[in-house]
Amino acid sequence: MPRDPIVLYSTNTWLAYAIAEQYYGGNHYVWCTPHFDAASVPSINYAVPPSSSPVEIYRALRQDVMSGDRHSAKILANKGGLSTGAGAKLEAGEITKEQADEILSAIAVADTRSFRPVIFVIPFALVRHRVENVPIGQRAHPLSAEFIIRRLPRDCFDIIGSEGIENV
Amino acid sequence: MFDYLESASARTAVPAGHYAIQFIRQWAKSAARAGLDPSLEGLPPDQLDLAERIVSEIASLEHKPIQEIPQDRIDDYVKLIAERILRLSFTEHGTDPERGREVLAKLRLIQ
Repeated sequence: MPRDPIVLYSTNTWLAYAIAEQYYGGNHYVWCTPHFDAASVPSINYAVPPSSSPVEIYRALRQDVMSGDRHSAKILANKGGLSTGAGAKLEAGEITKEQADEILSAIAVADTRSFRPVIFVIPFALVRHRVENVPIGQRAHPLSAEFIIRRLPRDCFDIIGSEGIENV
Repeated sequence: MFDYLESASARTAVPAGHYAIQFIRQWAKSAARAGLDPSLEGLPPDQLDLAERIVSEIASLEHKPIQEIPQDRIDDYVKLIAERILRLSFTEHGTDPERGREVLAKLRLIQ
């Protein structure tokens, strides 16, 4: 019988974190996995391709941010996701039109550093009742352990890297 | 490319474009790896139609299934789609650069 993981990890952008804190009641939408780094786990226990692990997502995003790549596909995709999220929150009546306009205005002028990566460390025991399995067709690997948490409260995770990325 | 996105409403085109981005970046390859037929699902019909149109156009241009397209080409399409949906979102919400900078300054105070 598989044991519950101890913690889950998720790599996000600082802007996504800050928007959720300010406008979404501190509830964060995250994809997460119990395995931070493919290199630290025997391959028999780890099925996520290295490029999809939280640490590799972190490194790739950090590289784009530090090089100031304004045309980064990852950053543009994140902007698209934040824009979609604001639209969904507006549609659901969770934010006002004025708040949605503010969020979109911020996304429009955000510099690359606003998309610096941050890592959420989420004790599984605190979120056991909140996790949903990612559908097999959407996982990085069919055997990988990947979860979605649609409303992750701020008091259920620690964050690494919010102040800067140079030393992480 | 993707000109039909310009004539769609932001409410339809933005989530459809975002979904298409996720599909071409990861889900198509993931489904193929799992032995599943990569297919789009889980969106309202109008958004699903648009997402399918985006994905079909890319596959048609590349003459191969999405999961076989090299990553650098996928990144090019991600940029194109993202730029389109962002333009729609920004137009829909009438973004104000000064207000945006104020909001960012406020967000930077968050711990």
